[in-house]
Amino acid sequence: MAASGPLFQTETLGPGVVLHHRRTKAFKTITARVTLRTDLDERAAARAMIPRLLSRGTRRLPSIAALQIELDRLYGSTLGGEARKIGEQHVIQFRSDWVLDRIAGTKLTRAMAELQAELLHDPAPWTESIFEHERKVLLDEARAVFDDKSRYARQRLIDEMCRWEPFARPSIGRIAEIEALTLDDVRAAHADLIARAPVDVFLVGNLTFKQAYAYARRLGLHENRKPRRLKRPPRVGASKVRTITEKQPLNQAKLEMGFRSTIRLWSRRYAAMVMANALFGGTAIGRLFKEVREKKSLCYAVSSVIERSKGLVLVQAGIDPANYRLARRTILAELKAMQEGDVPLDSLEQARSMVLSGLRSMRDSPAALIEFALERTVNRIEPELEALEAALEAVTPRQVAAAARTIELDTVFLLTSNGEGGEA
Amino acid sequence: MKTEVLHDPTLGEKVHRAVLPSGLTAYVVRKPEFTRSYATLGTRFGSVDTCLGRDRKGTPIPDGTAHFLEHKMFETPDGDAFDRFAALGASANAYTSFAQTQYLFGTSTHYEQNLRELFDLAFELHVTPENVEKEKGIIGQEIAMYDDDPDWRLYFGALQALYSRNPARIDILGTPDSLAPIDVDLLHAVHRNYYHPRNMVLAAVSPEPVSTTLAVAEEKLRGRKFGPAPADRPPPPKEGRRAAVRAFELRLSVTRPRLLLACKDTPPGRRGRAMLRREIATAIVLDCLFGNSGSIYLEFYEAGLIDESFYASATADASFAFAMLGGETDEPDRLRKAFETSLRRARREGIDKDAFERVRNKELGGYARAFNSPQSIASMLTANYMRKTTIADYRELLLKVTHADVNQRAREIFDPVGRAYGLVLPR
Repeated sequence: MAASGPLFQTETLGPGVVLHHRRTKAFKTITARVTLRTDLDERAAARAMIPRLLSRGTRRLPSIAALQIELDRLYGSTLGGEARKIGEQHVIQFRSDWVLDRIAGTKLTRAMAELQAELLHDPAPWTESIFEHERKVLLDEARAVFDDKSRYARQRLIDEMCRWEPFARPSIGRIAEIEALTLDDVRAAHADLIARAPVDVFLVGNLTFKQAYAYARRLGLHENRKPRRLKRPPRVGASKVRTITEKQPLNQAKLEMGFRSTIRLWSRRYAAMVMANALFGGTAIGRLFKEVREKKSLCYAVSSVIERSKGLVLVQAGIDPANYRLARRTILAELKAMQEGDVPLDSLEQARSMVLSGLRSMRDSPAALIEFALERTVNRIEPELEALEAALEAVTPRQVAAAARTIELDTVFLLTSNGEGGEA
Repeated sequence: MKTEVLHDPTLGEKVHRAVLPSGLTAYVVRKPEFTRSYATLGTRFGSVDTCLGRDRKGTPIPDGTAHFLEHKMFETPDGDAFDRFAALGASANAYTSFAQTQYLFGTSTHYEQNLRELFDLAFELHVTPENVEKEKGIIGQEIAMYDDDPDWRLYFGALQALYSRNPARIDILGTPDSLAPIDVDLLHAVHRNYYHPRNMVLAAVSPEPVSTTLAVAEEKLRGRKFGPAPADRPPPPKEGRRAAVRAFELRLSVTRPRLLLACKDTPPGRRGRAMLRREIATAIVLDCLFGNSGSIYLEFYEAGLIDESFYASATADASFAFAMLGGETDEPDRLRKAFETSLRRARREGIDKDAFERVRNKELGGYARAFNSPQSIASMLTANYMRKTTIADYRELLLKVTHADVNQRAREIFDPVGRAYGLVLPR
C-alpha cells in the first residue's frame, strides 16, 4: 500500500497559480500537466485553437518539425496540448513527460520547463496562412465526430438534453463558431488566458518539491495575474422525457439515454452514487451488462457513466434496430429494480471490491492521479483519495437504492438504421 | 523448474523467466513500488489458426472460432467469470488477435486468488448448447458495431486486398455465417488442442514475491492431463509479393473520405533475434518518415493532405508482415499520388542519417517509458515469448541496427508491387 498523507503537496506561487506535486519513485519518467481554466463559453473555439497554433513551434524552434525534432532529441519527451471540458469549465491543458535525468544522463527537467515556458509565452509568429490551416484541422476534427457513431450519438444526446446549458457546447466549440473564427479572436483569447485563467501545474515523479517549485516558476505564469473566479455548474432538474430519433444507413443502432441526478462530486452521497453506477452499468458485473447483454443477448456493448460535475448518468447501448423498445424497457426496468431496493449485498460487495481496487491502483498511473486531482480542483474540493475510499467502504444497500432514486430519465436519443444497411 | 534472471542495470529492472513442469513459460517481474498487480495468460492461438490438430493442419475450423472461444471461456458453472474476479477486487478482460488469445486481470487486492482464477478462466471450459447459441447474438452485435466503423472496415478490407491465401486476411470476429456452425463439441476440441501449457505464456507484474506467482502457476497445472502440444505454425499457403487487389472502395455513412495505404511486407519467416531486429528497423523507418517529426508526415500535413487522424503502424508475425498508413483526407487522389512520389523517393534516397540517429534515441526513451506500467511490461514479455527473444535483446539490437538495415527495410516495405489502396467515401 502507498503511504498515507495528502495525494499532492500544493503551493500557491502567485495569484491563481497553484503547484500540485507528488513525489514517487515508481516511474521512469516525470509527468507534468499545466492547465489554464475559464468558463465554457462562446470563446471555446478560439481557445481550442491555442494549443493547435502552439504546436507550430516557438520563436527558437519555429516549425512543427523543429519542435518535434527537439523532443526526439530529449529522449523522446512528449509535449502536447488540447482543449477539454470538465463540467462547465473549459480547460486548456498541456501534457508532457520525460525520462528521469538519471536514465537520460542529462538535465531534462529543466529543458522541458524552458520549452513549456517558450511555448506559452514565445510562440512562433502566427500568420494568417498557418491560422487558416489549423482552423481547417479543427473544423475537420469537429465534423469527424459524425463518422464515429458512438461519439456522435453521445454528442447528440448532450446537445438535446443540455440545450439550455453551457455544458452542451463541445470542448472545441461548435462548427459554426469555428467557421466564424478570426486570428484576432484567437490572439485575444490567448492574451486573456495567459493573464486571467486560473493555472494549475501538476508534477508527478521522482523529483523533490524544490525541483517541482523551480519547474513551476520557470513557466513564468505567477506574476501580474488577475485570475477569474470560476463557478461550479448550477443544479438542473430532469424535464419531461423527450425522445429524439435520427436515421442513417447503419447496421447497428445506438441507444443513448440521459438521466439526471441531484448527486454530484461534492455531494455527501457521492460515494453511494459511485456504487449505484457500478451496479447499474458502470462495470461488467453491473445489471445492464448482465441483463441486456448476457441474459437477453441484445447487444455487445452497454454501459453507464456518471458525469460527476453535472450530475448526469449517461447510458449507451449498441443494439439491433429492431430491439429498440425492448432494450429501452429493459434498461429502465433494471434502474427501477435498484430504486425499489433490489441491491443484493453480495453484488454490492463485489462491485465495491472492484471499485476500491481500481481506485487504489490509480497510484500507479501519473495520468490517473492528475485526473483525480484536476477534477476536484475544478470543483473546488480537496483531492482526498483515502476519504473517498473510506466513504465507499461504508456504503450500504439502502444508500445505493436511495442514490438510484435520485436518477431520473430526461432525454432519449436513438440513432438508428434507415433500413438501407451499412453499404451502398 | 528452470529459472533464469535477466537484468537491465540502467533501468534497474529484473525479469524472472521460468519453464514450469507443465511446460508453461512464466515471466515474472516484481515491482514493489506499484500498488497494482497485473497478469496475462496467453495462448498461441488466434484468427490465423484455421485448422485443428497437433500440426495445426487437421480439420478446418470456422473463421472467428478463436474469438468465439475467448468469449465463452468467461462462462463458469455459477455465473460469469467477471463476477469472480470482481469479488476479489480485480477487473478481468481478454482479447483475440491474429496469432494469440490473451486473458488478463489487474488488481490491488487478493493477487494470489486472482491468479488462481486466471488459470481457471483459461483452462476450464463450461459451455452448453444454450449459452453457445446466445453468444452468437452478442457477437452478431459486435460484428454489426465494427461493420459501421470505417477504420475497421478499411483495415480488414486492406488485408483482403493484400492477401489472396494467407490467413491474415480472415476477419478476427468471423461473420454471422461463419459462426453459425460453432457448437459445444467444436469448442472443446479447439480448447484441448490449443490451450496447452507448452503453447502458452504467463506474464505477471506484481509487488508480490516472484515465488508466489511461480508457486500458483505450478500448483494450478499439477496433475492435469494434456495431450500432445501443438507444433509451431506451419508455413502459410505460398503467395507472392504482389498485392492480390490494387485498390478497393467502400461507401459508408461518413462525412469525410479516408484513404488507407496497405503495404505487403516480406514475412520474416523465422522467429528469434533476427525477427526482432527487423521489427526495430521497421519501427524506425515508420517513425523517421511518418512519426510526429517524420519527413513525409510533415510534408503531407503542411500540404493539407492529412491531419492528426493519420496513423502508421506495422504488424509482423513469422508468416506475415504488413504496414498500414492512412487517415482522413479531403483529397484522396492527391494523397495517393503524394504517397507514390514520396515512397519512390524514400526507396531511392533512403532514410536521413540524422533522423535515424535521433529516432533511435527516442526509441530508447520509449523503452524506459514502457516500464512505467504493468500492462506494457506484461505485453513486452508476451511479445518476447511469441517472437522467441528475451527482454535483454531489445536494447542490444536497438544499438546494433544500422542505417543500412533501415534503408534496406524501407525498400522492402514500400515495394510498389505489394501496395494496395483502400478508400472510404461518403455515401
